[in-house]
Amino acid sequence: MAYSFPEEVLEHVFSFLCSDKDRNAVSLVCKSWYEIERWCRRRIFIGNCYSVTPDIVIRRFPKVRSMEMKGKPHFADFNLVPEGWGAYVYPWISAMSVAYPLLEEIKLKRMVVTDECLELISKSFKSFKVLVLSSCEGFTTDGLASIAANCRNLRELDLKESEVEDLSGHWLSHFPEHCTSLVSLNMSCLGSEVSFSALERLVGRCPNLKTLRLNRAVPLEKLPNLLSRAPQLVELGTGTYSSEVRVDIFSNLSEAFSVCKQLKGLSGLWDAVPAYLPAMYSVCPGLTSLNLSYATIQSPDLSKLVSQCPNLQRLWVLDYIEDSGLEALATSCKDLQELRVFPSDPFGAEPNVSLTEQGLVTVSEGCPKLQSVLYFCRQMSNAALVTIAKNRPNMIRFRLCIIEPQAPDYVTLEPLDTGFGAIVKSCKELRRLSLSGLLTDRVFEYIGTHAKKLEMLSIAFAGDSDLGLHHVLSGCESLRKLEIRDCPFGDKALLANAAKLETMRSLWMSSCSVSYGACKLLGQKMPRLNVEVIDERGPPELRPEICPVEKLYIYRTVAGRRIDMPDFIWTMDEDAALQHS
Amino acid sequence: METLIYVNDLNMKATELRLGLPGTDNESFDAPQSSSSSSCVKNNKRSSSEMNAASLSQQQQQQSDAPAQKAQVVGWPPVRSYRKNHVLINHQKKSSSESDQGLFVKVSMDGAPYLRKIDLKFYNNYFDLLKGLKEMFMNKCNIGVYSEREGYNGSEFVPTYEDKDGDWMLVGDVPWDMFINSCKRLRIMKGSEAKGLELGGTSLQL
Repeated sequence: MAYSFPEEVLEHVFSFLCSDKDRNAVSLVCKSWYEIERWCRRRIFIGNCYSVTPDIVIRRFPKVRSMEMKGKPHFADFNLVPEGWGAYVYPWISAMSVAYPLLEEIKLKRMVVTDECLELISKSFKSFKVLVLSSCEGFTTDGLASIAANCRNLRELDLKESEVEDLSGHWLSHFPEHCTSLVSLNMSCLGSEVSFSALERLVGRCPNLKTLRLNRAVPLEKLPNLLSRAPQLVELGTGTYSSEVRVDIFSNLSEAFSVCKQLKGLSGLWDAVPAYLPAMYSVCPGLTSLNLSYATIQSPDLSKLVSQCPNLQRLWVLDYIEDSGLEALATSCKDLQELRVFPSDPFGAEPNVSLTEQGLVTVSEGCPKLQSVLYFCRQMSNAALVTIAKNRPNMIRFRLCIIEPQAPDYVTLEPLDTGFGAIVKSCKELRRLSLSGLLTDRVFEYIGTHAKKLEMLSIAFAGDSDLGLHHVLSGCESLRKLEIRDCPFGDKALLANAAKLETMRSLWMSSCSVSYGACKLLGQKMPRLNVEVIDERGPPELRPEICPVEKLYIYRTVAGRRIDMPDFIWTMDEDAALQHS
Repeated sequence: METLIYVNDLNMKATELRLGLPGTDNESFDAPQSSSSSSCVKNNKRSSSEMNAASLSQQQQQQSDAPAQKAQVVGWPPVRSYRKNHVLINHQKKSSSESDQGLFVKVSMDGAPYLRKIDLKFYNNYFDLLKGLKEMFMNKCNIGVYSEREGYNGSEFVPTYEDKDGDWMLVGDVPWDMFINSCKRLRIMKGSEAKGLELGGTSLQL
């Protein structure tokens, strides 16, 4: 006889499952579990907004409270995706406003959000609590005003590096006086000055405020006013960290920092002036996260600062830190897990700072927990990469950007195949890898052979032939996202590994050698993929079939072809001839 | 049908495909890689006007810029727009908005028989400026290490400048851009007179 738990019991058990993977697994057990699970799933994550439609999601999961979604391909961050590409969130908001009246959280990344969307959100969801817009665009500060004014229980408003049309700072004043629910506010990407007194009052009346990231327009001498009203802050992003050097400002600032005993994360620090750095020394021992990537301070001051932070787990910094500063980091910060070094002068022909591969090697030696690296530099050697690989087999994310495309090992002038090969061989848990420098097909052979846990790979100006791409597509079992630019990869590898593409979220290829004919073939053979050709030169069928396309974006989908494409994108499918509008 | 051919054909180096329109003479990517960044610009048939405009204006500026800037490839290095616009040294912005005339200021050093002139725009930051000053005065002035507490430590030479208000300021306190916009002339002070300008010194003059 079949026996099973009553539905309520199963639902209760399922409520302990948080990860999508677990919930998806549970849904596959049997039909009744599928049914029970779908009615109690509260959080959904959609990695590609075009992989599914709002209707399909709503039909399957009728009681969602939190939705997270991503839109444009990652290379949109570097202007490789043309304006008007898509990722409009409006259809989703519109559908959810009807289907999910109890929706509490919306988190979007690289999507186009309009003021209309924001207004609709603010009016449709009575329990709305969390809005996170990461690298989004399309809205103005008027949209923010709607959110501030209408969301009674707003807990989190995080604009993380979005491009907002800044009409004025008035939006902040729309938070009603009775709003006391804020836990997190990140307005660091905004340009305009907000009313400081409104900000002061808002901060003062929200006792649960844990994260406050100000924008550059908030002057340094006013920072103590805010800190004194929010000594419970855990994450602080300062405004501009520069002012005329005055003893009273310094002592106020110093005193204000000393009251913030819970502070774990510090960011902002625009235009940081060395004179004011000591004011924050009192919080340094407690810091686990420090973002100095907007601070143009030089190596000696940076070294001194990081030496005060022995509990640092995450450091983002400009290359002003130089090798000497990284040495200080390696000595002082034994808990360091993540390091990102950004270039201060990426377009200069000559190096402006003394930051080389040595800095990274030193940190890899001194910081046993280092697992996540983003490093911009101007020279690299196989020897350095081999050493880093040996030191840090626990590396999970390794993104190296050697500024000059196709730069060889500066010592031997050989390709950097061996070095990156050592990385993938040694770092068995590597999930994300970005390559740069001079690389042949050989590095892809190493990657295909060893990088079995690799989920995301970024390639630029690398490889010799289709064999390179073939190694990656046939060897990397866990690959989900592949983005390629300016590589000599063409039709053969793509067509030979067509089935692989259905196991991935997406593939981006731009300035490669994939022909229009191959795209059409792929689109026809793989109905569950959207094969989208992006070409600003005009319709690809006006050119010979062997002509390579400018850009190609391929992703698996159950939504069918897009219906909101601009006139420079064409979907390859059975009706390839009919689609051009 | 066609797929089978491709599967067996993966080792063929002689690909028929070339980047660019057929009938043109561009080298195929199968050629050995010996390109510099500028040939990336040439070989990639990107018709985007943004790209062409950028590379053209770079080439025009290259003659006049002292620290040379290479031709820019779209989206490389992969730095996000927000960083580019707000934090980084932006050669394009600098050279297009200001004239090519340079920002020459007089430099005097105590004890030197005559003054010199330098172009502040030639330097990107304080480190470069101080290095330049040291070289200019033939290492006769030993400028110490700057720190916010003690001014210039370890030497009797202190670089100072006269700002727009006519005040003599210690070099290094304010962000670089603010400095070059307000610096009217430089003076490398020596000896006891220099001590008075250090932060925390008894004769604090700010």
